[in-house]
Amino acid sequence: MGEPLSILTVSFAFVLEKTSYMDSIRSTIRSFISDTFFVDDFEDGASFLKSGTIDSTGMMELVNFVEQSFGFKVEDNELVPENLDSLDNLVQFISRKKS
Amino acid sequence: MASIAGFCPSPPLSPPLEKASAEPRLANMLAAMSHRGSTPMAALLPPADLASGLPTVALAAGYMGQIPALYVDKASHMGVAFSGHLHNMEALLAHYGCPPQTSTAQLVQRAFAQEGLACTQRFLGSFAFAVCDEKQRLWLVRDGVGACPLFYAHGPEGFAFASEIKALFAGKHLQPKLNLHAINQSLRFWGPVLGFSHFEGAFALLPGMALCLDKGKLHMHRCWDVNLSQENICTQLSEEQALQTLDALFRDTVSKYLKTAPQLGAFLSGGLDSSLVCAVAHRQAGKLPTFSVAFEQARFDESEYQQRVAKAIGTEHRTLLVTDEEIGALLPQAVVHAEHMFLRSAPAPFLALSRWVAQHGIQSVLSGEGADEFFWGYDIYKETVLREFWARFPSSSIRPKLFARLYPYLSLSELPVEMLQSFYGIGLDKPKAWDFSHQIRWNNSGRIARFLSPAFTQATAHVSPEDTLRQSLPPSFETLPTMGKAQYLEMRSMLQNYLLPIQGESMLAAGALQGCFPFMDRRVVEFAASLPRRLKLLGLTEKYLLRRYGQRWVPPEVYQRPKFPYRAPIVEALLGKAPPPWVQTLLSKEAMETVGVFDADKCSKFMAKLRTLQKPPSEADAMALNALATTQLLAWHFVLSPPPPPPPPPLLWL
Repeated sequence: MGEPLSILTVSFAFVLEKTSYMDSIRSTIRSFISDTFFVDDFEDGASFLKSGTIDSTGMMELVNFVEQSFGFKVEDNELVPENLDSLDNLVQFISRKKS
Repeated sequence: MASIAGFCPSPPLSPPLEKASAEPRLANMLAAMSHRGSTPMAALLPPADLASGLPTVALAAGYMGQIPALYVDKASHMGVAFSGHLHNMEALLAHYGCPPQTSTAQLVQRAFAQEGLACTQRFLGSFAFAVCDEKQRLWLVRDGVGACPLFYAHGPEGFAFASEIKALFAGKHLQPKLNLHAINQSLRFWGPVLGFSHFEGAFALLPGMALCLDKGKLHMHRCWDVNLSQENICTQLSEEQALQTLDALFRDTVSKYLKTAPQLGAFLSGGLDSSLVCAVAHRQAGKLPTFSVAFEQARFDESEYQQRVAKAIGTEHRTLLVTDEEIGALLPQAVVHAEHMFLRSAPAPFLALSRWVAQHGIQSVLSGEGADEFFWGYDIYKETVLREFWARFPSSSIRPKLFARLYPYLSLSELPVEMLQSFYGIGLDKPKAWDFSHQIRWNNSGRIARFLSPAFTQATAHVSPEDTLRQSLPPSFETLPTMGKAQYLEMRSMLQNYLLPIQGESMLAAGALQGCFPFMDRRVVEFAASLPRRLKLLGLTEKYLLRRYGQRWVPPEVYQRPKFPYRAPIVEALLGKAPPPWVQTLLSKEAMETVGVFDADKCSKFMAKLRTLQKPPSEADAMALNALATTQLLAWHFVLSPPPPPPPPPLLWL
């Protein structure tokens, strides 16, 4: 009975690790946005562009930051709102790219 | 350029009028506006010895050049204080049977006595005047476009008016206090709306309106408004017919200014509109001094075009270089003259230009102001057409790509279409909404709100700027076509509450200059409103008809040139190598906390970021900095530390 338990433990640990990794991405991005665009209150799911959190030039700054901090290039076909236009979307996108 | 002022106390709270008590208040009011003119005159109406009771109104005005701006008719006891310039004086003098040497104030008295408010329909030019009529009513009237300012305050102690708000403070009619709602409006629409000013209790008489004070009660009347309805558009008008009419109207307007405006010069920006004005005026006058401003940095500077146009037209041209350092140093004075916070620094170099032009003996200046609003030169018109086109097929992936062509300098072409959709697609589902045309711009400038202090946000939260603006719109607004709505909003918000009061008037007034605006002549504005859309915006070619007209007058590189907005350095001027001394004190954390409009912590961090920036700042950041700086200056120079009042001049009593 020991083995299945250990598998459970391992996968649980993995989930934990992944969650904390995503949390750290989230907090990195959130503090970048607060420091760069001077907005404190924005919801994780809200569109940056529609809510006025970031303007069109700001989106370029954000993409630059993501590329430099997470060490990958954002391809042209990835420059879509589903990937970039909210904190939730961005965190998902980065963790997908990193996995 | 004259200044006018006056007041009528309401007994018993304030003492009835007598020369001795009225004199210091009137003299202080005019002293506060002494940059506008000279030799103040005053009158009490009706005169105490002739009236049944005591006088009810104290009126004052300066001279315009050599001509008195105050006139009292001895027979009827009517009085008129006039500021501005009527360029069809010749026709008006003939119509009202006045001798050739009649002053404008006297003419207005005669016209008002004969026709009442209806006389303003015959007036061409820019004006703001006050009339005390035979029935002891006080009228304040402003031209339809709004090139001459007029402010008033009405409280339990009485009513007061003046060409500038500072005169209301100087006459002790009002205590200076910032109007937070008006600042909130300016952060969205660039200027306060619905007649608010940046100070509590001081109101602007809106352009095209007349106010009547009758037995202590205020009544508003609309004298004129532009008709932008679909029915007013001459859809069948051909390009050739339109060009002929424009040519006749425009040349007539310019020639009237040449005949009537003393010591006339012109501003030449290097763009199409001012080039057209200068070319037509130079052709008619044979000689025209022109003036322009140049900047150190290429991204703001237009001097190459200015030189080319001046050479092609043959004007006697002079250029004033205004450095970043000078802009920073001049900004406080610009704010004091404008009585307004502003999102761009352009008024500061304009102030330098006005004073410099005045030093050359110029008293009146022609300018191309108004063409972009009435003939559709601004990007906002193209943006509206594009968004309307896109709204008809919102899922199109091709249509939003046109925005990249509209704003090549915003690096939008780098943005994929899906991002453009997020940014420009706001409100696309409601193309008939009243603010469809301006939503993007207002959202962009509204982003400055992220720098506001929590206390300010809380204090203004219960009044929506949009609702306030909407209240200022006439009922007919709702029936206008989309582009008509766009133009009306542009005229009511940007032109009349930002550009004209700041750049078009108060900076000119600082040099005692009278602005002459051929594109804002009422007949030209009405003609432009009647043009079919294709003659204003053909595809994405803005000001199409003016470009065609330009072919006759200016070199091809000017009439083909895309619109280049007049802007001046902000971040370089305030946070650059040689920042002005006031930046250190007024933009300090303590000063921001004292004023309380902006969040001191956040703004300090923001300025630290701007100071270390390696590339040109974004437009949004530069605008936020200017808003912050000018709000601090406004609070400091009017509320927290107003300068000692200038000595009151002796009044010449009529």
